[in-house]
Amino acid sequence: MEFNKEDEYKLFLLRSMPKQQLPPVQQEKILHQLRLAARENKRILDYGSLLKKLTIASAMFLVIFIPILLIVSHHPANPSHTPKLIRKGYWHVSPTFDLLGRDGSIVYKNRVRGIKGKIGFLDAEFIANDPRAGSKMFWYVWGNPEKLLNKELKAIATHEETGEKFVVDETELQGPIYGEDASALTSFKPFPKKGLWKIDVSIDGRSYGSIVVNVKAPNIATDNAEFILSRDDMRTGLTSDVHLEVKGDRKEKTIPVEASLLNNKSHQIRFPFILESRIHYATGEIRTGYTGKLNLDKPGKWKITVFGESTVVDVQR
Amino acid sequence: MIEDLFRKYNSYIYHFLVYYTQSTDVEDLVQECFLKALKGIQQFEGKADSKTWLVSIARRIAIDHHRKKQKLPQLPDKLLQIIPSNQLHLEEYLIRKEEIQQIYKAINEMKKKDREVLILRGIMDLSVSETAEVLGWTKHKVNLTFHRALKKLQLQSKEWKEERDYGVQ
Repeated sequence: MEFNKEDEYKLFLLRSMPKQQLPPVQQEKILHQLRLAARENKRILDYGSLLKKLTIASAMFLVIFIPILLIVSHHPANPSHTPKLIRKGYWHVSPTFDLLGRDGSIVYKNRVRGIKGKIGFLDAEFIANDPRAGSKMFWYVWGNPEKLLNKELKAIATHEETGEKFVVDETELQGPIYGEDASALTSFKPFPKKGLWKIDVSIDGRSYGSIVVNVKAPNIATDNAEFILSRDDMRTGLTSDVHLEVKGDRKEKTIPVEASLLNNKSHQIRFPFILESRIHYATGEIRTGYTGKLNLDKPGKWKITVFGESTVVDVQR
Repeated sequence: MIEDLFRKYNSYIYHFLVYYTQSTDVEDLVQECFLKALKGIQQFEGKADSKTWLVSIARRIAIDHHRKKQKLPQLPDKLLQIIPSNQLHLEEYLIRKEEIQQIYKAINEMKKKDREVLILRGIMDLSVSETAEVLGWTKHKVNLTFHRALKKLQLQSKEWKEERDYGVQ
């Protein structure tokens, strides 16, 4: 069964509900009662049969746990290979793999990106300058828990084309949620440029591995309006709903979005975008959300206009 | 043996009973649970995982003692101050405090079966098969109900997500 990010986050919250503990005095009181009751019980216990049963129980324990131990110990304890990614044009996006639960069942089919058995994150679609995609990131790390738990994970991203570097994430590793040895819920800073980025991860100051991701071009936007759609994804015949965020608290129930083909101005299409919700950002900014279509019929350069502000988009077939 | 079980699992069972009964006054239920366990320990025979077995007993006791008492509408501050070890750090924890109250409230407003599966599979972190064993359901039913219950779990208005998205930047 797979969860989306929102469900995943709810699950994370559920699992981090404050741990409740019986006060030590109460514990002692109950222990005392148990000892009294156990003494009472002893008289009617048949030691012979108990011993036999215990033997069976421990045998079952071994049968069940030895294979698990074998599987667990199969994880490379100190994996060392880090892809050598230095020269431009040699970078390849890191693969995705399954995330397994503690019982070996699949939690996420093929959705963790990184180095299998070592480190990865729940995959997201990164868009340049857009903080949304990286706002909730889950790291999963495999290795010696003693060298992972409560240790600092630092991720530095390098842009393939320009060599630009920045710290994409700094967080502290916590206990596992699934079959991994350590995890963290964090957010990535938005990537400032499109293209391939190599994320070099170090844990507790030591280099741990590198993951290459692809970042799409920024969203289509004017000064005051932003479509939640990367310029890379602007194709003809786009039938799915597109979200549009407009700065400020707008009252219009519907706003028109105009699209015209640059080399043939008479070819114009109007799309009504319908009011959806007001969005409050923690930064204090208010935006108004609209939703509509941007279904363009021809490839080429289009001018898209919202509230009199325009931007030019290259529409692929 | 029962003492070992108690030392190992009393916090786990207490944690379960607090969330399951929505009350902090559950010491007597914890005691009853382990007394029942002591009596049943011969029949238990390592048939199941002892943790699952104890949760099953605790759950039955909680159901039998279904109390008319006032349930805690939200987690008292004193309980929230316990920092879960190995999970969250103080700063992050304070930010989540609000969300934790919301989730506590939301769970308790849900239908019984949704609530049970969210507590066992979510809060108590039992596996699918362990949850199936406690509830006497099939694994499929556990998966399906859990999945739907998570979807139904409303934390806030729609904006909660966006708010967080920018809040954590």
